[in-house]
Amino acid sequence: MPVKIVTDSVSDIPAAIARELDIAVVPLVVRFGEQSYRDGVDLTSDEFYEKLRTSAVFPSTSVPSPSAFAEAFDAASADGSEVLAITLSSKLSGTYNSALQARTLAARAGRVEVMDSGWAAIAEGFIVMQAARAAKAGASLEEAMEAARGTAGRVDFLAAFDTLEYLRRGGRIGAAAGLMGSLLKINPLIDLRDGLVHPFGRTRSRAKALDQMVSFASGFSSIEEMAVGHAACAADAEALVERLSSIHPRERILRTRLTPVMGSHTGPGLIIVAVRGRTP
Amino acid sequence: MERIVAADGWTLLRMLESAADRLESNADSLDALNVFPVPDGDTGANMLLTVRAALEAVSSASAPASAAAVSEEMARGAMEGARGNSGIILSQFFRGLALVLTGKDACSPADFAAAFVRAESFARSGISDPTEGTILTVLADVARALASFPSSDGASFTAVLEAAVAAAATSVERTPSLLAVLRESGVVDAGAKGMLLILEGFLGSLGDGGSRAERPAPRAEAAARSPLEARSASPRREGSYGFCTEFLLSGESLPLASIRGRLEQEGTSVILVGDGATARVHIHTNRPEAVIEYARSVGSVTRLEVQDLDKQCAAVAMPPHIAVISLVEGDGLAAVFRSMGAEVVVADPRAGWRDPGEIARALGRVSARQVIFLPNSDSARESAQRAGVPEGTPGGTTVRVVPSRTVPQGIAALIAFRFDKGLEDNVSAMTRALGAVRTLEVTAGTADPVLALEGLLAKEETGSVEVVTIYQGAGASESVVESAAAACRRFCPRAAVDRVPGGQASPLLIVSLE
Repeated sequence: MPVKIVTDSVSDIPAAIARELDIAVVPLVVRFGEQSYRDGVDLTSDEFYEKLRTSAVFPSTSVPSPSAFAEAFDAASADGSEVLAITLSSKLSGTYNSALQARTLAARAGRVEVMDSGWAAIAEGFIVMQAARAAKAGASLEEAMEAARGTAGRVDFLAAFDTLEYLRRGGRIGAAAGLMGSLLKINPLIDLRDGLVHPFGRTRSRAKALDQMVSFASGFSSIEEMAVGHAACAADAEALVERLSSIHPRERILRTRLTPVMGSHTGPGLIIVAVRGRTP
Repeated sequence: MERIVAADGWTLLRMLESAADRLESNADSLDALNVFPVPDGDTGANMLLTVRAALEAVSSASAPASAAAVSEEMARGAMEGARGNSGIILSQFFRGLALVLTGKDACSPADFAAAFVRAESFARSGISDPTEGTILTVLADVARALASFPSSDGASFTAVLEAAVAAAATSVERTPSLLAVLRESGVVDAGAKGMLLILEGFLGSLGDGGSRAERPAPRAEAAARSPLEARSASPRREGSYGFCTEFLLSGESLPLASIRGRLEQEGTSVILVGDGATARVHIHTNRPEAVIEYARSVGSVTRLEVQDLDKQCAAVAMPPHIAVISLVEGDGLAAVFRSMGAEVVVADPRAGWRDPGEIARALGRVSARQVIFLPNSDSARESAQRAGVPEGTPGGTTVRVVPSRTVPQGIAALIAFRFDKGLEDNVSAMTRALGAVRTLEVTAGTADPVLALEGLLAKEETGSVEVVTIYQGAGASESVVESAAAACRRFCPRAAVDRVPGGQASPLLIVSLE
């Protein structure tokens, strides 16, 4: 039985790849006061950062409604496919719960499974893409789930932030709160541990933060897939890609842009490198 | 009080409108209660949006009168418009109600009770990690209370709503006893409270509706009062994160550049966006009252929010298993090291490092079983050795010394700390970091400190320096420091120059080059 993959917009999968792998993306919602926008659908990243600069209120974000997931499940199963939905870490967002609720709402009788990727951003994206590739190659629902589970243990990312303020405001800062309050200007580095935001380290300059990201990526004994993403700092991203091209072919480094929903929680200036591969 | 036996479609609609009003008046204070599951402060807004979505669905449908039609529209609207965890669970209540009322013209007390039973089971089955002490508990408690509600003829709908409100109120009060994070934060659960408000709204729509709760004070005023009271009660300890202060500033031709300059003197993390008429202001400061007073002198302040960051950032700075103890002279330097997560031992200005007991006491203060010492000077290092702080394992605590000889080396080592690494890896990384920073010192009593500094800079390779930090000693005048900063910028054109009030007795200026 064919399998279709559904995910949320936080997975940052480039549109072309989502089309090619037949991945349905359900958008989260970003709100400026009373105005709501579907992530990447009603508002582009550029428009978002412009609004961020000029709006009188800070944005907030919301999960997709169960109905939105249910519609995606119904559309995916219209041809009789079974559905595998993979969401961002349930410890960071209620998106996983919303998808679970949607299972009972979907009108068709087909099978729907929902998995918590335990990750976010393009690391989540890698997990979704591997499951989608398996599905495209004819995997069963169980096999696709196994592919996702296996990939979850083989991805990691490191992100350099300009400020932790957005993370704090959005309530996701977790243990990284310890990095705040420094009287010296520092550049925080963040990763995820067990699905939660975790402090990695800090540097005294942006340049040194990028150094750390290069050595993080270089620490993998084998690199199968790599991505560099950013929030409103394309030049830094290009510079990082350039440096990483010495360990992974430049044309195979995926370029992603953080969606408005992610950008609400990171603020502009975020740069991330994600790797799927083996750590020593 | 109006005595309704069963609620028809129009009554249900009025109940929902009243619930929306009640949520709206209280949305801000609900947001303030929001600590679980994620303290993102949007439970109030989310539940309100969900209820509004339910309302809009009914209003846009053609004039229905049956309870079945109205509740079905409400459920559809709520489920499509559900926002956030609480909104999603709330939408399950509407779904339960719609299911129970299928084909019925009016909602009886028994129907209402049954709706809660359904809602609870839908919500529980859809949540991956159902937690007690939340809106789920309220649904369960109300379902239980209503199950034993007398279903004799003549029992009024009003009476069942009163019972529901009473059960919900008790349930909300109980939430801190069920969920630790609520207890620790001293709040009830926001989602649970939201459900109570909705039920109160339902009841309130039926005529007199029982006791009308006082409209709570707007969050801004309440928040602005409490941190200021707290300040006079307990003086801030050094290294405190301060208060996150945000507001909208309105005026005419607001001089944004000079406002920003003033704000940067009052605190950190300054964000100022907008134009001459309206600007959004955000700052972390120890003196929110001074910031607000200043803001009021240049414009009008609205939507004020003040949050105590120490409560939010009470998370451990270093992983609990490794503590870093830094030995410093000067309160300013102590504050810098503390702000970066180190436990600090401050030298007595007169005794210097002659009292090794201080160091031993610091060891006793930290709860971690692994400790890294940063002496930051040769004399401190000797003193630490005299205190019996050799590398080793005194009393079950493993102690290692990273031999920093200057403050900048100590800072560099502290910055190099890796939260994901163990003791030995950190000792290696921190020791390596010592070599990555160069320290220049200008002693007190130098005739021309800036000239002396320039002489030192001239001997260094400065073209590729990225960060210069000037730690100002107690005896350094403002003009000396400004000239020193200017000299650093000249020699290190690519560098950002940071100034830190170190307060050390000696040297006059410590300058680090990275």
